Amino acid sequence: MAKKKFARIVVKKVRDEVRVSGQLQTRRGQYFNKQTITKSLDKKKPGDLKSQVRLAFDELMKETE
Amino acid sequence: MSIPTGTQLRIVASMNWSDGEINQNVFNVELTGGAGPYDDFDVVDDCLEYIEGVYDNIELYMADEIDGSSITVYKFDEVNEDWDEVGSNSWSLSTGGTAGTGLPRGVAFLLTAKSEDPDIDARKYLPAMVEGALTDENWVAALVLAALDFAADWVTAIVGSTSGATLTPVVWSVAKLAATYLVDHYLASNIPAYQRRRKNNVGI
Repeated sequence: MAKKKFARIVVKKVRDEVRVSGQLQTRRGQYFNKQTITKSLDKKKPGDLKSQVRLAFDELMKETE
Repeated sequence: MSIPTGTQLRIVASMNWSDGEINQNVFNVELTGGAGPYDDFDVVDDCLEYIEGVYDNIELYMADEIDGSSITVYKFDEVNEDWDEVGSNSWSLSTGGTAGTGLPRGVAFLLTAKSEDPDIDARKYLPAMVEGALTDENWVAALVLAALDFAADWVTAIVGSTSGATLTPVVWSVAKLAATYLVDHYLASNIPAYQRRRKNNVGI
C-alpha cells in the first residue's frame, strides 16, 4: 500500500536552524507531525533558508514514495 | 509626496486572464529602516521589486492564459482610517513554462504564514496553476517546493534597491486596524485549495 501523502508541509525557522515537518490530518481535522527534518542555517550565506528547506523537503518526500 | 517610515503599505498584485478575468493577491508591508521619508514612486518601484521576487518562484507553474498586469500600492491613512493610493506600476509574469492548460479558476495553491500573534495567520491563494502541476489529485513536489520558496520570499523583509527603505512583511487586521509582523514560519500543502469567488460566473 502506498504511504500516505502529507496533508501539510510546515517550515519553521528556530534560531539558527530550520525545521521542515510533514503533517498528517486526522478525521477530525487536527494536524500532527509525522516527521520533522531539521537543518542548520548558515547566517553568512544569503538564501540559505531556501536551499536548506529544499534539502529537507527532498528527504521528507522520500518518506511518501 | 513622500512616505515616512512606519507607514503601513498594501500592495495589490493583479493578474489578468486572457478572457479578461482578474485574479488578485494582496500583500501588506511596513515601511521600516533607514532615514525616510521616501519618494512615492521610489517606494512603488521597490514594491514591484518585492512582488517580482516573490512570484519568480512560481511563475513556471502558472498557466499561459494568465499574465501579471499591475501592482497598485496603497498607504494606510491613520486619520481617516482608510487606504490612500500611492501609485501603480505595470508588471508581467513569464507564465506557460509547464505544459498544460490552467486548472479551473477556483483552484488555488494555499500558503499560510504565521505571525508574531499566534491567533493571526496570513494566507495567499495562488491562482492559475497548470494541469501539469497536479498528479494523483495532489500538487507535484516541485510545485510545493516552489511555493515554499515563494513563502520564504514573502515573509522575508527586503531593502528596496530604489529608495533604500526596508519593506517588512506584515499581516493587516481589518478588525483591529493594526499590523502584526510575519515570522519565519509558514506552511503549504500537497492538497489543492479552492477560492470560490474566483469560480467562473461567481460575482459580477
